[in-house]
Amino acid sequence: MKEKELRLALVCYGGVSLAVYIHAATREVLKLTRASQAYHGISDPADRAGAVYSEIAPHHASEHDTEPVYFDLLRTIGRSLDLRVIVDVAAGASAGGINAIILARALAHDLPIDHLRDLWLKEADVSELMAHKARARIWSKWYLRPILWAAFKLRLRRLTEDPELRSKLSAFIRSRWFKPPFDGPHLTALLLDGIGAMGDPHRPGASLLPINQQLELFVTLTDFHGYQRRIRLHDPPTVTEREHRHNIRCAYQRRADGSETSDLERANVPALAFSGRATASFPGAFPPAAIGEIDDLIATRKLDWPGREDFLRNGFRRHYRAGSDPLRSAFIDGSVTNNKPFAQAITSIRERPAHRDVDRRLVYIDPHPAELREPVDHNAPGFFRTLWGALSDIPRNEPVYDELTWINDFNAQIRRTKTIVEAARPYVAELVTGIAKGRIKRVPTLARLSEWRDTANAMAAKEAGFAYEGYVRLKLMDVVEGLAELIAEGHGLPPDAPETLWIGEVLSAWAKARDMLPAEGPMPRAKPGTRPTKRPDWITLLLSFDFEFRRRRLSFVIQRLNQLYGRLSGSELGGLTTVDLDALKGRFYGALANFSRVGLIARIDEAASRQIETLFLDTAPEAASIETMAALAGEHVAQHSDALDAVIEGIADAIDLSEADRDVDEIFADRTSGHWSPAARQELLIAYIGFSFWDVLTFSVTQWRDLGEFDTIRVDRISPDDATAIRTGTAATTLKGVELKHFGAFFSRAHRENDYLWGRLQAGCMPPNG
Amino acid sequence: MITAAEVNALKRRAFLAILDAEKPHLGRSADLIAALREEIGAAVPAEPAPEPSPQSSPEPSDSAKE
Repeated sequence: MKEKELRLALVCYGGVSLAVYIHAATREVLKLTRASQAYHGISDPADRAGAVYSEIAPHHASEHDTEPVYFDLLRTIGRSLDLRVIVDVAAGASAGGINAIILARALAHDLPIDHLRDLWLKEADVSELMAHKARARIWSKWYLRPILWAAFKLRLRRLTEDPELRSKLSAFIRSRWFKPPFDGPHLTALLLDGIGAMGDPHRPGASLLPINQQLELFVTLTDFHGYQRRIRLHDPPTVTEREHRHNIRCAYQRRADGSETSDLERANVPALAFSGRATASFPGAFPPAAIGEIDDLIATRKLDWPGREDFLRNGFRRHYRAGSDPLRSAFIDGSVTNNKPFAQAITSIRERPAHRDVDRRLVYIDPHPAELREPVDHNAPGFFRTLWGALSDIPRNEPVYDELTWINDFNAQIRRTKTIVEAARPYVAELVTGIAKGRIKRVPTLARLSEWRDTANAMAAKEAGFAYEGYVRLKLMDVVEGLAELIAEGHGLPPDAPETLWIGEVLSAWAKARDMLPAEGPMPRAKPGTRPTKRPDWITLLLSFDFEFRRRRLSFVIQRLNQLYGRLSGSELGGLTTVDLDALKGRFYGALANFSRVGLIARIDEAASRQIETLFLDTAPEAASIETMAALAGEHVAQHSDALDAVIEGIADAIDLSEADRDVDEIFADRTSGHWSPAARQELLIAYIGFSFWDVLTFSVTQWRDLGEFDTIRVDRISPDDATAIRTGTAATTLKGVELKHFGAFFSRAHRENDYLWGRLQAGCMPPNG
Repeated sequence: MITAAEVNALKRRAFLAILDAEKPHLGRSADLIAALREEIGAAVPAEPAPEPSPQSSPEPSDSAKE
């Protein structure tokens, strides 16, 4: 049976009171994931045909409604395709951010969410949200009334047919103005209670994420005051920029041994409540959020926040580095700085290893797609229209054009690369078979594997000829940059910090001084079979530090392995089963972890770390322009030549990539494992040894250096304009929250019920598509 | 693969399951739910003929509540 993973990255943004719709739509996503989890929990496919959802997944039974339907959907599709649905990214901004948080926590720990319906239907109402002091008394601001009515330009006759809406709107606009009318601490309390009441897993380790998978949650904020960042230029040598965009990242990971790490568990609920409160702080409606607000609430309620220190340290690293105190920062809605969560979602999904043949989707929920409406007149907008537009309409319109264009470009690039890879496959297979001298079908020894890898590298250089010069120089520069970033990250510095740039300059000056990057002429070549001590130095540099190449190579092997799942049914692979391939893949993933940055940094010891500080960090020139850096780095290298040699060699010994290579070789050389068959081993050996050839072809054409797999991303939108199975039309046809600049549903429970119901129905239209 | 009739039947079940499940919670929306039930009946009609497939899922019911 063909197996496929449907990987969803969900993006929820904006919408103000249309958040009710977004909440309802994310419910269906959760329910679909639950159904998939239950379906794939049945280990014997023969048992799936007669299974009943409620018997397999008895927990949270009271909130099951569409789960059995989605279960039957997967079973119907399952006649020809084993489809597994996984959500591994949830990203949100504004009120959509609250929904992303709720969904991520429910997915990570398989938690119920039914009670949260009331958070939206009952509490998301002006009369609940308004600060007590802000509520209107009969006489307040009577003189402002006509001005406000006019400013809102309400189409009153139509809107005020609803008596509830009329009375609340009246109270709202007569209330305290020039101060945010909504009650910030009240929202914090609502979120703390609502997210907390999702509870604990129904059994330890319960999750809707499969083993070896990671779920990431991104919530975007705007830091009102911002923090400082330095960047090097020509003149002046450095400038300071203020950064206002801030992202909260929470992750959940489940490992093969049953252990898990989670930022979405109970210990971190206050952090989630703060993130929700902050991202939903629509300016003017809510006061800005501060961490102190949640601290106060925790103190008043005599609660515990065990994850507080971790949250502050990890979530606000850049603040601390810039000398800003996040406790004194004020946070508002991420949409204000156009801090859309698309970019985070895209970065996250392309770094994800797939476990099967994968269909990657980026799903975004847009309750109110912009209507194509020509402006009535093209005259310059008036004073108030300009202000309102700049403050509210334009940022909140949140165009996603740039992000969607980026995905299209990315996909085009992937398709090109894939074509190149496939076209070369027969030739590479022939070359690798030649290198193995007729032994490709046998179990290789460790010595032989290492020899084959060396031969393949030398042959790739020879075969590629003149083109290899460009490849290897690009690769060497990339390795130097990667090493600089690794060293910087080990000391808590981001890749864009001026210090990181300096480390990179020192390393490349050092490489030049050691003749690893000759200014002109061809790179010295190694003859096949050269002893390690006789290798040119640039090869030693690659062998010591090119962990990105190893990571690409291993991802490439895993991708090839994923393609084998579709070929299990015949005798072609010698009777291997899904279990065998899963076991092999588990081992490859284990080896891949050796090349992760975190893993590599962890291997650098205290002594080496101190040397790095003296030689790289403490020497970073304060006021050097980007052009003078290289010269300064050259002088620095000349002065500290021996010390630099020692520290770089120390790092190479610490991270010991040859040891990590051997771990991979051992998987191929394993004769005792029953999970291999000769045909499967041959396929994967060709990918593993042959990657030296493929990399020459693809490395310089991909902008994404860490790209190991070639899956395109499809983009799906859930919106009233697309889900037309029941009623055709647009948001205006079905949703009430679109009124009053998207605040409409805050004024009427009936409106919220309407939008909530449509959210579920319209998201329910989606799953069978494509 | 899945047929259009099967998709239709599943969508119908999903829509009605949502209406059934939400009805007790949406006190202001009795009229809306009744109207939607009719709209769903018209837009996504129940299949007149049974599925030709031999091992299909249990017959679509109007309510997904087990």
